[in-house]
Amino acid sequence: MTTLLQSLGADATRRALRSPGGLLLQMGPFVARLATRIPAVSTAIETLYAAYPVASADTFVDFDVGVHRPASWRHWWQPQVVFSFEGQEPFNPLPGGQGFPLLEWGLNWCVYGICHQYLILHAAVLERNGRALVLPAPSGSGKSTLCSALLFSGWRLLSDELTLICPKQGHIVPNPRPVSLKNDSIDVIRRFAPQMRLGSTVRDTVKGVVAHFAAPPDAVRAAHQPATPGWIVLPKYVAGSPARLEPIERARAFMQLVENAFNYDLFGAEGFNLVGSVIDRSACFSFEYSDVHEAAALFARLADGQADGQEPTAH
Amino acid sequence: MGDTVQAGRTIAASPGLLIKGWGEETSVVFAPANARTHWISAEAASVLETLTDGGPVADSALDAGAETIDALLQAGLLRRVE
Repeated sequence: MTTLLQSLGADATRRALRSPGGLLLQMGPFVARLATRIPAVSTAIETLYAAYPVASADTFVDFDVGVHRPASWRHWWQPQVVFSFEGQEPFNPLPGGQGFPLLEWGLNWCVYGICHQYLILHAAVLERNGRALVLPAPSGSGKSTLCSALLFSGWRLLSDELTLICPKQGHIVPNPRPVSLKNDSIDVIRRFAPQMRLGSTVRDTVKGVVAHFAAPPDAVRAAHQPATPGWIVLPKYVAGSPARLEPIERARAFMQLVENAFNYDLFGAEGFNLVGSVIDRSACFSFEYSDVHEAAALFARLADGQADGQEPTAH
Repeated sequence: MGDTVQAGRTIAASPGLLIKGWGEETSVVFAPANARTHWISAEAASVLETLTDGGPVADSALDAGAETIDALLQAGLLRRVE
């Protein structure tokens, strides 16, 4: 019997987060032990992880993490927060209001720094009709904005940030977590999807204004269902540009996956063959856009096989 | 323009040197010596594909894709036979 965080209630969630055993949450293939005594961070976890299964106390824990106030007199006049991993504090403290974004960034760091059982790409990934759409891109390219628009347009979220590729089966493993929006994209997606439940807006972070919204419960429930690579799309937001999807050479797409991989070098020839097999099964495009409605419509046509493009070379 | 590497095919051009192409103008090559992957012209990939003598690139193989081959030589991925 799976217990979801939302069924615990706010008080029990806060008690768990403050307890020595922490709160164990199943996040896709991983279990994280979360700990915090900061009310705003507790509230964000309650809200944005409401649909996630609570793992049992005897489960193997992949990440033991927390967000805390550093032990310093400074908190009296300028509160700060610090991320902890296995009792260590790998990053400098941040201003006190940035606790939840820091937790999310720290969890991302855990995944790409530790989980080398997967080839990990800096890429959003969604699924439709059983095929995965991989959007590899550096920060600032409009990847999360596009990903957000698509997940409110019939695509299943696998991740807005980290694509996990299983070396054995070659499929993509979901790891849906709260989606991070930044700066202007917050209002863009608010207008696009008024039903979105946005958490607190945090200003003056290293990435500007940041806000998270919860992964759709359907995506969380389907987190055990992998997807087959189907499309590799290199997105780029270009102000004023019509939505334009253009086929690209597969070798170029290959190199973009490598450029956006966190741990490709660790896999050696196996990584080369794995990326090659992902490319074999995918149609590859570059994509420019400025309007999320137009983009969502175009990707719906792509999923239905109506957009111009390549056919995969192998299945 | 020389031949392209056959679509979807991975070829071991020399021990451990892997080339993959999709019948397009570029291919990718993996060099285990430094665990790096390079993006090369299909012309150069086609040259590499023909190598069967254990890796060294004979001068005669430099007729096509010479610039890319030179880049691979400079990167220490291949050794020229004088």
